[in-house]
Amino acid sequence: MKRVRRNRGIEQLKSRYGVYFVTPWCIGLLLFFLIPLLQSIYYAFSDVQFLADGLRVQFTGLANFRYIFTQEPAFTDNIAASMQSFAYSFPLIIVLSLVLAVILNGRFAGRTFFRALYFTPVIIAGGSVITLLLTMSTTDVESMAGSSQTGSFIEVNEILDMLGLPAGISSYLNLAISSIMNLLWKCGIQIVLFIAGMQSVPELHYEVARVEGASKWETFWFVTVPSLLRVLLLVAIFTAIELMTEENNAVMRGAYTYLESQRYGTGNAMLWSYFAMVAAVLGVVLLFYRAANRRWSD
Amino acid sequence: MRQIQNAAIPDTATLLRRRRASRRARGAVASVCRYLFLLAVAYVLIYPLFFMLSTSVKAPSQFNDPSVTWLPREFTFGGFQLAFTCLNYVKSVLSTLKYEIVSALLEIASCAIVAYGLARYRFRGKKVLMVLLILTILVPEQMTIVPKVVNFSRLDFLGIFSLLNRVTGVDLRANLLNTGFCFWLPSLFGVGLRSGIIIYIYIQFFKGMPKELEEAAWIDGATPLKTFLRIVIPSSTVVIFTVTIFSVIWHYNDYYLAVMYINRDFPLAVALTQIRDTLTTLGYWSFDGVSNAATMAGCVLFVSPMLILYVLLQRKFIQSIDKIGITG
Repeated sequence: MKRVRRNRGIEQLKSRYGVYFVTPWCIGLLLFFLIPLLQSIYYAFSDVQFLADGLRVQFTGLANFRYIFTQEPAFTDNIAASMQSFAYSFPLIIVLSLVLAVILNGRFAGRTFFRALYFTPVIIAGGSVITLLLTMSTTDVESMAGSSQTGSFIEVNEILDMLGLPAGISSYLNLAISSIMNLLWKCGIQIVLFIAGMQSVPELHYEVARVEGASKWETFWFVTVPSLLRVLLLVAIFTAIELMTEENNAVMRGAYTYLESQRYGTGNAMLWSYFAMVAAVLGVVLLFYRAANRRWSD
Repeated sequence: MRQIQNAAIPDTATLLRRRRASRRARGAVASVCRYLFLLAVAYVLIYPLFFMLSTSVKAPSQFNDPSVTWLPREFTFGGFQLAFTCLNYVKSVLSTLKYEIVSALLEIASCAIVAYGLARYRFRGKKVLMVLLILTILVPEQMTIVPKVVNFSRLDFLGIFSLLNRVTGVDLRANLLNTGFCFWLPSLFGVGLRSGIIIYIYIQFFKGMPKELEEAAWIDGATPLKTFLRIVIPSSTVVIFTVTIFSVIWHYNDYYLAVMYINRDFPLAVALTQIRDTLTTLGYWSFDGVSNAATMAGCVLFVSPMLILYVLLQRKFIQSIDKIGITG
């Protein structure tokens, strides 16, 4: 009896040390995350003004939301635009980075060179520089090729016309293909995360697959993908957030003009209604993940 | 049963041989395809970089010359000179170091401590904290930036300072905007720029580490803090390295925080975003030769510190990716 209690004492002691490790973070969470989050929700429903003697916040109910949805015509257009670009960017980034990660994870001559090259977007992209660079270099291509497609070297339109697809699908494909150049630049971190994930899949699983005579395709679908599911979720969340908050995202730019001119209430209302939509999208992603997880874990 | 198996053996052997031959042929085709694909992607990645370099040294007279596509026939470094003054380069780099890089380093340290606590210890409320961690990853920095600006303009600690002000009349609420503290304080407490992801990566790594060393240290009477500093940190250089690269890059590229927290001495990323406007105010037309060369030169100036670092550390970075062991 006594011994059990002493053991529990050690456990308790250890758990107390655990609390010590996370206490600063809890304070930080409260001060710099949770409280600002609640404040920000409150601001979205009020009129916020910076005055000489301090801040004045006046609760105005849904006025901000009414304003952005009815009187600010650019907002709904911006949301539509960014949702559209999300619809093709998101799956393309995930698939491209997964494919590239699988290739770069394999063994072939020149692997180090290609890896070093493919990780440069980690260093360069994500900042203002890539926006400048890509807009300038693609307008250059455009003027050279004399076509209206930015960044595509082939006449995608004509090929798609020949295939005779419905207009909606072909315009979607057209957009997707012409933006591959930009999207490849956004795959850096994703590739890194995927490779890191693949390296932690036990070699044993691949060996079993090999002994059982699985083809490479089967190995990919039945060994690599199931063991990458959780990394896939991380990458999906990261990509979604990244796409939604990047600097040249239409909604973000609109909201920031409001914030910079100190119309914090309206800007925050924009951000929150946008974020609610992002959260809905992420919810769908999570549902997919759940379904996939259930299917593969059997 | 055994007889049937024996009879089947020669047949299987030929089958295997045939299969191996066809596999070899298929492998050759696959490897050619793989290289073609890799080269195509490499082209897409190299093209803007090359464009940047070639435009930055292109003489203005060459800009609208259709015969000059890749290598300019005349070189000039005027663009670099112009970009150097437009970006206010030295000052901007210094303020990047002061605001962003320092807070990156703080973040790396504080996140390691938090992640160790979450990965190795069991305590009440840990599940709630894990949910909050996911929430910090999910909620973009932009959602909380306005209240943070408001709070930093009059730093209060849970209302204690304003209460003190009301009671004694002493106002301790300092305005921290335009100082480094806006960047340093959140990083110090592990809730800085994308700290959630960094903590997450750390947790994954710490969970994969063998426990035995730490247990031995515990038995030998080392305190948890000592164990953490002397045993855990030295054996997790791989993850620290990766996380450092991520954090430094993210901070270096950060634009939103800097724009909101400060209004002078902008870091380099902000200066670069404004370079076109700066050029226009200096009297250069946007999209003419001089302005384009200067913009691209500005990009080169912006990218080069990180790119040089990357080239130096590239081998180690690539190796460390294989070892951090993210399992999701």
